[in-house]
Amino acid sequence: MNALASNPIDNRDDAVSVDDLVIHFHTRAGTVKAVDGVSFDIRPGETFGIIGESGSGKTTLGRALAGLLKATDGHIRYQGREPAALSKAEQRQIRRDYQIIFQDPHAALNPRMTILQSVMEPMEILRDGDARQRQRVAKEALERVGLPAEIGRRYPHELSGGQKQRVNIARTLTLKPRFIVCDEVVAALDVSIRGSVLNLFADLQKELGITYAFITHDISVVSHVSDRVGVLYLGRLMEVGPAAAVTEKPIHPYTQALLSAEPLPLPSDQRDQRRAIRLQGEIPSPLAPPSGCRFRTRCPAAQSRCAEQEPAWREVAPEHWVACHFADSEGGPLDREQSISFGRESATETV
Amino acid sequence: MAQTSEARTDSPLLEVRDLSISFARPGGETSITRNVSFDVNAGERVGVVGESGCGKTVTGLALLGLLPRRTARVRGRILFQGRDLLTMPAREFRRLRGRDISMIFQEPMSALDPVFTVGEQLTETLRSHEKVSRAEARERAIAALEEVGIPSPHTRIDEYPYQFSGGMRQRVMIAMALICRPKLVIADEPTTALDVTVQAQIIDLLRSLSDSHGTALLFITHDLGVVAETCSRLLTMYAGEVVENAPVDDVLLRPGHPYSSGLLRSLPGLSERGSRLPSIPGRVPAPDQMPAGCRFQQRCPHAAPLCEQHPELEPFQGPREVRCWRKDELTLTGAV
Repeated sequence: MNALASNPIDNRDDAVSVDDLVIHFHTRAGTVKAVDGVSFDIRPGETFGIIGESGSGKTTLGRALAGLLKATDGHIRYQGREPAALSKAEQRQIRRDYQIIFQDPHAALNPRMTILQSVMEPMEILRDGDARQRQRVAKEALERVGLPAEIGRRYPHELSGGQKQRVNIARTLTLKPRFIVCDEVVAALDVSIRGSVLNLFADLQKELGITYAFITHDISVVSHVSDRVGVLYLGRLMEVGPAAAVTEKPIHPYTQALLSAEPLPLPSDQRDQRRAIRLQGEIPSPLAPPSGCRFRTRCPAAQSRCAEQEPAWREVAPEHWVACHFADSEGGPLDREQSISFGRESATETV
Repeated sequence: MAQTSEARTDSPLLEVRDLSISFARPGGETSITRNVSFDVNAGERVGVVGESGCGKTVTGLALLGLLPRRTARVRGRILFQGRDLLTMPAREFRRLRGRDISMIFQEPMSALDPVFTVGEQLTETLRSHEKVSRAEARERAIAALEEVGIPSPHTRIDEYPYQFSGGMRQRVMIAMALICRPKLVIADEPTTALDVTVQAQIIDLLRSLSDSHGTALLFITHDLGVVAETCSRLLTMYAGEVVENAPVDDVLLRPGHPYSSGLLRSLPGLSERGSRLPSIPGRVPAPDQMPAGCRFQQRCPHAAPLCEQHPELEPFQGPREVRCWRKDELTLTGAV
């Protein structure tokens, strides 16, 4: 297993710290504000879940974390260091340490290369070792992700989706990354095999100390794998906190709506006890996000203040950050609205 | 919520009997589904689940007569209101399709024609089935858009599909599927391409429209949560066969087939945070590599020597049917 052992991030610096990150794209239709002022830290060895709907900017954010996109403004620091301030050699090391795995396992593999060739390719590009060493590392990586050795001779079309995603994981492991951005890595897989791939990510973290940013739209996945979770909406963070707090007792109305919209396989008698928050409409265009709070156009608790003033990013409970004028440690605005929080005894008349 | 007082006969709206679908290939045939049998009653919502490659979509397409004529071989019977769609003259089937049975697809953008306005596509559907004037068709199209919750339908009717968001396009698809007041709608993953907050809206809409018009729904999906929120009965398909047919609540509490149980247990939301997630080992066998006997045996944690024989779909605990030799001795884990 030695060939795959990475150097886990061991100092006290955050694995990644994102500071007021802005990523804009200029198009003919105008400026797409994909990520528009986002700050958070990812700690060494943790899994930081990023949840958001399409258009929230989660994929753009993920690509930026892996160094594939340049910030329009703000900073991403890797273990406290900013890539721009480093030498070329140091920058290359960061590119190797910070990897990304994509959603579509098939599109990520060259159909004309054997699996072993694909797994060896990153090492060739980075001129790691000689051909024999590369082959040894690649075979070890395939074995580590639970694939039989003979699969190295096959081509992508002969593999199932789950196997292909394991190949992509193996390929990333050959570079001994410290940090991997996992962008919807199980979304294209059948539910029946998602568990085994998610278990593999957990095992690799335990063994190799890899830090993950786990990007997904699937609340049940993010809640299962993450230590902390950030909720992204239209290029801004709405809520960040420990996974249990965010996915079981969320404060922000948007997070609450997301959780309430998730279809749960519960029998009808248990289903009736869930509170239903139904959002109107869809996520607005990132070309022209709403003034003030970006969620206000769909928020059931929006007030006039929400249009005028952008909510501050506040820590309402230890480690639990929320961007909502009406949130505090007791909960968010929807927790106080009796019409919506039917059946909840904590409802109090305020606001 | 009111059910329409439409005349309900004793026989089901749709009776599928021994539906076997295969595709011609050089030197033979590839069998995709085998002896699929189930009923859908008037106004009933039935979910169909299974992994990709289990024959869900192909079955849905067969019910609409949309499989390629030259390569697909469809055997068995599909009785709709007592008449066999497979022996019905093509002209008659065309009249029925879109009027009495219609379909909602997964990707609304590829199912809508980009060069026609939404109004043109809605009125085309209506006017090909009913004798109505242009003006009346337009009025009904506007009413249909309004019913599915599209704001300002009077102006939006003249817009093109690209001018609609993903959720709104799916609403247009639903309006189109329902404009002739069909008795049965086949919905193939209608919410899979949508965000979860929009999916919740579309599920609410489908449920309320099906209730108010008494439209039966065959809901093909991979998402058991969506089935639980929408349907009263669940059909589990595996490797081209129905392996369980039962009321949704029964399956969620105590699945009768190990495959239904495996699908439920695989849902991450049901496991403790950070724990090992269960999954079903292996994959659906390719059509030309079907094992003799029970098709699930290689992946089944409960497989026994008698599973080398092929089990039939048999009654199990009242209103259910299960295809498993060991159904009476196993106690399988459900969702709760």
